[in-house]
Amino acid sequence: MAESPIAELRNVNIYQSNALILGNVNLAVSKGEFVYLVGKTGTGKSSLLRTLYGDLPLREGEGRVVGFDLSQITWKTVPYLRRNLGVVFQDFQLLTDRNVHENLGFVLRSTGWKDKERMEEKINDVLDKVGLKTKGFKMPFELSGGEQQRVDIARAMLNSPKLILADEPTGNLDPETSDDIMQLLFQIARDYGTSVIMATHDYIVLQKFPSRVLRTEQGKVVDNATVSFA
Amino acid sequence: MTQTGRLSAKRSKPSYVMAVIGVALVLFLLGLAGLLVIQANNLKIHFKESIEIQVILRDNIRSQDAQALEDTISHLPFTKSVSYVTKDQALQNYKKDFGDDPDTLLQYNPLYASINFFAKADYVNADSLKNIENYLTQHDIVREVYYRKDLVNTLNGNVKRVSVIILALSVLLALVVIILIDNTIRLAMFSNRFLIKTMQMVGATRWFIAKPFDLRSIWNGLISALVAIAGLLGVIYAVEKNMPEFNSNQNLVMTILLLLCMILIGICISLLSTHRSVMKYLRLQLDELY
Repeated sequence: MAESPIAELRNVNIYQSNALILGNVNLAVSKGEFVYLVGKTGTGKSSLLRTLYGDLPLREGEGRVVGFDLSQITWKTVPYLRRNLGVVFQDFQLLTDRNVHENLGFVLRSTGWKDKERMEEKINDVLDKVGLKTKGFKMPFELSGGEQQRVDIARAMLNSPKLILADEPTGNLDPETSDDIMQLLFQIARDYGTSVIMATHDYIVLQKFPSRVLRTEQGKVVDNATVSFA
Repeated sequence: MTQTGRLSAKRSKPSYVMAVIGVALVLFLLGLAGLLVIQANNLKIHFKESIEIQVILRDNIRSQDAQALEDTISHLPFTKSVSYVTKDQALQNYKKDFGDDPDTLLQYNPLYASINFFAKADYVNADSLKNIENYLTQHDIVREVYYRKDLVNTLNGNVKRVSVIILALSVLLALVVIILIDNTIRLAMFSNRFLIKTMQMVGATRWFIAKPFDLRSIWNGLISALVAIAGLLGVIYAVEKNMPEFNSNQNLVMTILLLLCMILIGICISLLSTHRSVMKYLRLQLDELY
């Protein structure tokens, strides 16, 4: 029997305020799958991701993400959905008032971790995975853009999520750094079986790291097996 | 790099420092108004008990009779303090006050002996003084009872007016304090809106996010109140030194109560405003923060 999808939307309409952004969205993402979400600015990529991590309420249609029914999500239950997800932002969104180690520590404490030794172990583990083991004491503004994005990814990996949602994670980075970040994300998907949905409009990245592509255009999500660069 | 870090950490603090100073200043003003309300009663008593009532005696009376009346007056419930001024003393006082001697001009002392007394504040109003006057003029040796009737009426009118004004000002000030503190704190919290949102994005519950902000606001409210109280105690000390009639010990319980109220108001407003702001940013969606 096939494993049930990590994220699934059926006949979903996505609204921003009262404007319909995407209509009749159907998609399913399996375990360990790497999926690009492409489309011009303003076509609803971010809105789709925000629906998946519960920042936009699901008003119409059915949706399940890492076992959570999106239509049943409330402000009380949304933190528990997010603990099973890793969210990576274009602008990093690290806690600017504390260092890298404390940034990661905050996430662990806020998601119910108590054992200090295990927390320390986990922080060192994820920093090692993203190649920043020696930078835990640095404040976010002391890091380069690529390093900050790595911290962001390390943060997303803390609770060993089944799904990472990345909103233009290479948007603010130069091409070499972008390549590093992409390799890291692919490595995570391959090594840990973590599914990744990544919104981007960086076609060079798609060329270098080909994978399944979902395209947002004219209020629809089109599921392409491959991307056309025409 | 470390240098930059330190500088930046310093830069991120002023919003809290300014909020604490702002709250302390408005609490200080509120405390000052409270102190004024408490001391207004003291001042009212002080002014009322400064009005002298003169019981002017007839000429050619025996000094024993005068002293007997002085004794009677001193034991009456309305009397605060009493003194007997003989004709000679009255003349001496006159010479001292006006510099000339009516005795030389007229060849006799035209002044009367009198019993001068100060009444307790509760009795210094037109009706009570009229009764006192009627009672005293019944005595044969009393020629008339004299006091500044106009001053009594003006004083009572003014005290009432000032009390109403102080009360109205205090209510207005309390409102201003609440709005100002709320605004100052909301401004400080505005700079934390992305921090709050990020915490929410990584799966922290609302309670977990709000708790450290709330605890900090309690601490900040307490510091503000203590700063304001220190300022107020300084004012009390300075005023007591220069105005002996201003005695905070007379209203020690009320003053302590006022200081406790300042702590309570400081903490409560700081906590409520902070919690409200955090909750507001927690409820907003990500794109509404920009």
